[in-house]
Amino acid sequence: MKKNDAFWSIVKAILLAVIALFLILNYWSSDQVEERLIKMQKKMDMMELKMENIHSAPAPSFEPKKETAEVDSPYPNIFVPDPFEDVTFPKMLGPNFKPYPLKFLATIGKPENLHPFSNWYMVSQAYSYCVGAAGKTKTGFYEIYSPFYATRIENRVAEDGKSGAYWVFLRKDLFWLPLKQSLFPDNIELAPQFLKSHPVTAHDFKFNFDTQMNPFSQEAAAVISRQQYDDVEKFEVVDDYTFYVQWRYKEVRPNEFKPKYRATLLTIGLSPLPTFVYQYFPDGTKIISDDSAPDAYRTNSSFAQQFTEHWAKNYIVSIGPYDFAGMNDNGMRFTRNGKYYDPISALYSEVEIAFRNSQDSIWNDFKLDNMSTYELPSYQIPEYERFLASPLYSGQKLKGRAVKRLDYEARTFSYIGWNEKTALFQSKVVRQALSYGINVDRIIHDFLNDQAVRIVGPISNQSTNINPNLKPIPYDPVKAKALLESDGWKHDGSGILKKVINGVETPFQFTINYFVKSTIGKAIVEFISTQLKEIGILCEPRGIEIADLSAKLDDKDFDAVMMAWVQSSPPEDPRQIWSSQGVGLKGSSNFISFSNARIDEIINLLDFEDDPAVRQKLYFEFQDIIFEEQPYTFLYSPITILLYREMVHNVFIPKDRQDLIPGAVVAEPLSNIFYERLPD
Amino acid sequence: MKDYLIRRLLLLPLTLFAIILINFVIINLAPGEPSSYTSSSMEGGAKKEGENAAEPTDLKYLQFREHYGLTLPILFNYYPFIAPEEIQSDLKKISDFKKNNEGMTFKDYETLKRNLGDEAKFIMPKLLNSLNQTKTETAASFFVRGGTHQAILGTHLTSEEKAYNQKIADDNFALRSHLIKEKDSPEIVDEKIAWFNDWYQKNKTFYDYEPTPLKKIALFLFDTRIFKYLSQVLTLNFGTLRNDNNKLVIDEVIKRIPISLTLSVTPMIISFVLCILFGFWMAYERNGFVDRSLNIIFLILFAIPVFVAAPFLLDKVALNHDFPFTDIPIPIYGFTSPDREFQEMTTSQKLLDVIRHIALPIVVILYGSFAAQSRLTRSQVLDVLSADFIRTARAKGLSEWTIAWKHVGRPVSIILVTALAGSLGVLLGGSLIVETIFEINGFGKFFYEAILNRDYNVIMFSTIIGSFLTLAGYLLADLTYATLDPRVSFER
Repeated sequence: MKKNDAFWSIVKAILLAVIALFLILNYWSSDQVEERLIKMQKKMDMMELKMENIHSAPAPSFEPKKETAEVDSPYPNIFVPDPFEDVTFPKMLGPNFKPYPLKFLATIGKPENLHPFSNWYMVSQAYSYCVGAAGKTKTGFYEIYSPFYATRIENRVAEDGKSGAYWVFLRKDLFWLPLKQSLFPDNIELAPQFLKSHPVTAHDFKFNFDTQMNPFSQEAAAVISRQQYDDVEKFEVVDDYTFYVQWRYKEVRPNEFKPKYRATLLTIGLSPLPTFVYQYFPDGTKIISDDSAPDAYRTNSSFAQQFTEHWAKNYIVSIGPYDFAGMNDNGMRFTRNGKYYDPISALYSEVEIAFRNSQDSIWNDFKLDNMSTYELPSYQIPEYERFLASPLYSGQKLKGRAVKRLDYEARTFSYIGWNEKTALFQSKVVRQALSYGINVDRIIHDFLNDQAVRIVGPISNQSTNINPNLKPIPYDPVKAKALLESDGWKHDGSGILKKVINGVETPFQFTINYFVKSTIGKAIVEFISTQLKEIGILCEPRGIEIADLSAKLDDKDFDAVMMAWVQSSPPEDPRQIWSSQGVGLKGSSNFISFSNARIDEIINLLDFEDDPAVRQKLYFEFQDIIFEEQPYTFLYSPITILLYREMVHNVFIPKDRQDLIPGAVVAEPLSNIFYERLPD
Repeated sequence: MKDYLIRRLLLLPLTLFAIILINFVIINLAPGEPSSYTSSSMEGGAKKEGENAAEPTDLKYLQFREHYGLTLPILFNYYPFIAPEEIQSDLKKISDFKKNNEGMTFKDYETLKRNLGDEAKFIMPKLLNSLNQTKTETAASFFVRGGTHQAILGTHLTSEEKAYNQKIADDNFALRSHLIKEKDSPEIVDEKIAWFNDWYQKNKTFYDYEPTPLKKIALFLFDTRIFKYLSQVLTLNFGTLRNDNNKLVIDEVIKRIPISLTLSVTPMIISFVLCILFGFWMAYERNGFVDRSLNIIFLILFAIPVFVAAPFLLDKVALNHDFPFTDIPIPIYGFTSPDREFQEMTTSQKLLDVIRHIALPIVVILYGSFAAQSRLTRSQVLDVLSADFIRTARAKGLSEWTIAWKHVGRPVSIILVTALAGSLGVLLGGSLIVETIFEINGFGKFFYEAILNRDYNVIMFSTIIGSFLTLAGYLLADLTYATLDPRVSFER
């Protein structure tokens, strides 16, 4: 009996082993089949691409651009050629240049959506890979423009000089790339019209303009555009590739009429929005059934609401140089559009923007050589030095992946904003005293590893409009005390200054808000608090989350705040931050409620003045007043440390390379001309 | 047992309802709204010029707020019952503040404006009355606010819905074009007011501006945030994401289930097996070298916080190191390799890729649980070992292995199963720190970001499902307990 049991046990065990082996072999063979299928799929994709290339026009080559024939027109072209982009850069690349396989970038956080009017910085960055504008700034310069989607722009002024319009002539070789069904949710089935390519026309430009000007469009970019393009009287499509924009003319001096100074810049900045997508539902029917009225998209609230929640708002419809290849929770991808008219705009076969949770993660990406450029925050300098001494880096260096460094002053400034609605900060003497009471040089030395420079006002040190006569306010606590005393603030022995305001004895005590996740911000604000205590001011630092900080700024519900502004490039427009129009508005950028009649006047004058000398004089006066008023205590402009691997080319400051770009004034590197070269 | 089960199952929806109600009220009363988040930037304390221009109209975020029902009161809709005097007084306060910036703080002014704006569509006759009496810009702007309707959104609209959208688009534009402006002459103001009256008479039935008393009661009870939400939930519609109404909350959760389950169940199983082994070993070696050493090691591990261990492992182990005895690099981020690589892998390669990626996160999740659970097992084993039936088993001559396996193992596992089943709800919470540090898109990060974004639908979903799983987990634990231990009975 026992022998029988043992026999059957052995048989069972063998059977089980055979079944297990059979399953393993089965799995192994299916795995092999799967591998072959994937390889076949790849081969088929490549063949398909080759077939496509054989049957369509050849891809543009990396050769210097030929000069275009002169157009017979009585009006001059506002655009000027860009010798660096047309000749120098293509020569650097050479005709046989092969795009580098991958450009990997990383950013903190994930955008909410990819709506064309989103105000997220990373969304506008993503759009810059896919959609351009009528013109662009000449490489290395400000306020000089070169052709982009338009080949010509003419400023046609009427004979009496009282009106005029910008005529825009578009390229005829631009196409919207077809949408990809696979990038949409299952519940959205696209009509065939979306799966074809469409020419980019003047109607797309007008559609973009109308949608932004629709008062019911609530996206941030639309709101800003409505303020900027408020003076446009007419936007007319002449034919598929020509349109004109008529700006309101104002009499600036007797018998002298002018449009807004920024009219040229704003006209050149116009970009297209694909009518073939955003005017439709996915089934191919129009959102506005009858859109024959010329201003249909400018007035219809239902369209604006549908547009805000459009079914394609997580898709970027592309013209080129890159095609959108999808976004998920890990990042966004773009693939090179080989047919794009300007191949030097797409120097990589693929671009990937990864979404990371923290700066540390991005830093690790750079350390692992996943990423070839990295902007090093000053607090990471010790870590950077450790990395340079690590075996990981030694190995990379041997493989030709050494790290180089380029330092330049960022177009950002940090400041303490004093809310002028608070009784404490209404007097400019108090604000001046506060600026004298803060040792900014020590902040730069102790907390920023000397990686910052002092600033005197809201205009960047690198701008052509910076007032050279202003010098930073020195740290002088004695003067600060004297100023406060002259304003009526007295010591009563408690250590805190006091003053009778509106009949009530008020101690000089306030809260200073900062973004809680900024470690440097915290350290600086705590240091400021200690310094102000020395002159009899009690300042309580309070770190808050960004959403709460934004809400407080929107409601002007704070005493003081430490923040930073990212400055625009010339021509600077001080209206957004310094105009008194923003005092009573929720969400205005003038959250400190600054108001000065002469500043308002200067802002209005700058709107129309086009004489460079007069403009500069106005900018200087503007800075003088801000310096005197001290609405902010201007702290510093950080030095950006750009790290890059040695095989990344073209990392330079245009201003320093007059041999490449004669006359260049731009003082920061241009990431769009960076490129990597495959080994020969 | 059956009665007990029925009783518990009946209590489940009631408990859930109470949880939903409390959470809904708390979330809705919490400061800030989804719309307030929209204007903030992820760049931290820096704002970019041109990014935050002021919006001078009340329409900003209106569509968003209406879409999410945020313009309605939370529990009861008292708006149609607001007295005309109160409306008059609010309009005056707003008007006064606009003129001289006095009488209240800017924040209070904004709150008052928003509240009156939300009430506007329910008090249109009273607003018209006020407009006729005062002829002010403010009264007109709130009348226009009340008359402005939101389009029916969606990708598959019927022809009736399209016609409705066209009608409201025409009305919205017409109302907006008749807003009273500061520079308007008295004659123009009178003309505009006459137009408003005319428009109201023509449209009051279409938009139901003068509801019957019965309708007002229905509005009071049913036109509220909670009712709208509950009626959705009862049909298992948990809504869409705040930033993309094409994406359903439920789909986004399902997408993350494999990730979060892998990250929560795998360590749970590993910890269950290892803790039983360690617990037995420690109990059998009671107060010996092994017991004390393991105790000390586990306590040290327990004392190291995850946010310290994870970056340490990343920096010292993962960066530039391979898995032991192989040349396979240890990945530092993600649940899988980048999509472009992962999509080209075979199933077995994909499986190995996932294992490679989760190795480090699992170690981080796992190590802290050793101390508590192995000590729990140890004490339970010691407890059972001192029981009479073990002495009897030994007396019967059973081997120590059989005693440990058959007589000690079963009662010991009961306590662990109870602890594990009770933590079923935690599965949904994910592991925020681990997911954040290792850049894994699981539930933890998803729900955390939803809280920061004030994504009410996601927050409520996580609350509902979390509560449901916890309640179900405890029920399951009770039933398992009864099954594993014959002494436990739910009969009276």
